[in-house]
Amino acid sequence: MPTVSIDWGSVGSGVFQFLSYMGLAVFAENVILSRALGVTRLLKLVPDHKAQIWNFALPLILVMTLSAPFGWLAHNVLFIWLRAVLPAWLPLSALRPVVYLSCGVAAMGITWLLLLLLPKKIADPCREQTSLATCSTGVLGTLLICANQNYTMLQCIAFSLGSALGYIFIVFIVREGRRRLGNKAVPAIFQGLPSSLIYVGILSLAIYALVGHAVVL
Amino acid sequence: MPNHPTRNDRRKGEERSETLIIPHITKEMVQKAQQMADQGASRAEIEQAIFAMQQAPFQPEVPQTPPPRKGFMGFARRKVPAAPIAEPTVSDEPTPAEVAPPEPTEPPEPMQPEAPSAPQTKRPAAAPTQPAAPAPKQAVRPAARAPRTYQQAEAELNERIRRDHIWLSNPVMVRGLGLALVIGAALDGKRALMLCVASLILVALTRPVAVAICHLTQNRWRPVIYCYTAAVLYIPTYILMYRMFGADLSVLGIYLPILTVDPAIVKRMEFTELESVSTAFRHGYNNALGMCAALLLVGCLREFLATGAIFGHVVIHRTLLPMAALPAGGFVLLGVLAAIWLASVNLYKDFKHEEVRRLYANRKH
Repeated sequence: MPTVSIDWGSVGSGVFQFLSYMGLAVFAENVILSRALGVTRLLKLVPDHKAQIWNFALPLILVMTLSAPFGWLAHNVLFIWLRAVLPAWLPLSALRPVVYLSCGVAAMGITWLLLLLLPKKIADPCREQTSLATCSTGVLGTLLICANQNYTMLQCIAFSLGSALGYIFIVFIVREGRRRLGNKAVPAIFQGLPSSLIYVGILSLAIYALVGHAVVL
Repeated sequence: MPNHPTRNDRRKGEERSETLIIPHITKEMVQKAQQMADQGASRAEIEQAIFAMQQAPFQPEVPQTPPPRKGFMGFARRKVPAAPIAEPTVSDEPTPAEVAPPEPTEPPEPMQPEAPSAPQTKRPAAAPTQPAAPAPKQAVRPAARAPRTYQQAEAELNERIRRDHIWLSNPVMVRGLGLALVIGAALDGKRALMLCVASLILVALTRPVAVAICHLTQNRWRPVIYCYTAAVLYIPTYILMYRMFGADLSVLGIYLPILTVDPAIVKRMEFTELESVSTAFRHGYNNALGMCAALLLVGCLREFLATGAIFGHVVIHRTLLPMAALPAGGFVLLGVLAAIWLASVNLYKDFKHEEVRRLYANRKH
């Protein structure tokens, strides 16, 4: 009778690695606090209602996570092939936005289809935000970071998922901070964009103090 | 004493002074009446002329007295002549649709109401002997005129404020676009300069090209079109910048590629109305200039605070704020700069709005 032996040690190691990369992306290398990616969209989202944040958050999580394997393939397969084909006057770096943007668009298409599984009441507002979530500096920036760091596919997925969760986490943190900063004790000239930026800056400083070093930009 | 049905009829038939009662009189009418009276015109002639002025369609009110503040007059209604009335008023940016066609070349009628649209309307106010004829339709169309009402002046002022992308509506400091580049990448003057070159090309060109493509696709797939346009334009931009800056370009890391999806470039995709290509180019170019101003300001300030140098040249031999080189310092510094910037903008805007209020305070409109 055939038996299946599972190496629980390697499985546990893989899960631990996945979770550690996710935690790294959520806190230590948060896309907003450590690299200032997606700040404009964040400041636009914060004053909105909570439901609208989730309309953006759900497509963002799906697009960032689903684009990670495509980005890994592009970095490890497509660019290796292109390096041999491209003429000398055309640097490979010039094509990175087009290629990684295509990865994001492919993930957007899959996200679009996945949202069909949800009830129409939830799916429709999410679908409206899908293109905005795709054309975000957070998505393209995460793909580029994964490529620069030479992550494996599992690490890419974990880092992208963690980045998306970290983004949403900071949206809620800043939203709460902005609600408290809206009182009259804040000078008039600091209300709005300036106070939000300073608040995010203090959060970023706290993360920097926790990690102890600046990330590679 | 006759019993008049109304008190107002008591003096009917009595000799009265030559007082004209003109309802809804304007400054122009008063001046016209005075001019004609000085030149010996009869009361009937003056009344006819005033009546013709009342019957004529709208004419812009041209102030006959010196404006209270010259600053606003240069801002809100440039080149408005104080006298004579018939001088055409010219706004600073007349669009082709606003420019009136030339007036017919008929001999000018002396008492014809002044049409503000063409230089030929500058005719002598003397010898007012014939009754006024209604002005031709082409002439009465106000061309590139000064605002008539307070609401129009406010709207025009707001439009001018919106168009000023360098200071009053700066894309970074006021509208909060392109923050990732300013905070994450503009760590010193040199990086800021490299980002300026990239922004000038990409921000200025992406918008008109994307708008042209959107015209072809009937405004479908806007987000994808904007992003792919920027990504395709990035290829020659990168090659050009690589020739200019060489390997130094690598210090920008991920921030140069993500410029293609920066909100400063693709923000316009969220708007459903499709602008013309020339308008898109003008707005894109202005946005690029505003972004460059913010990038250079923040980059040089951060370099100075973090290292005491500007563009690598040492100014002071101490570091004032080492944190300025970190993203956290970028957030805080940009927040403080934005507060100062917005405060100055609000002061200026309040000043201008107050001027408009004062200018239109004593008007009936």
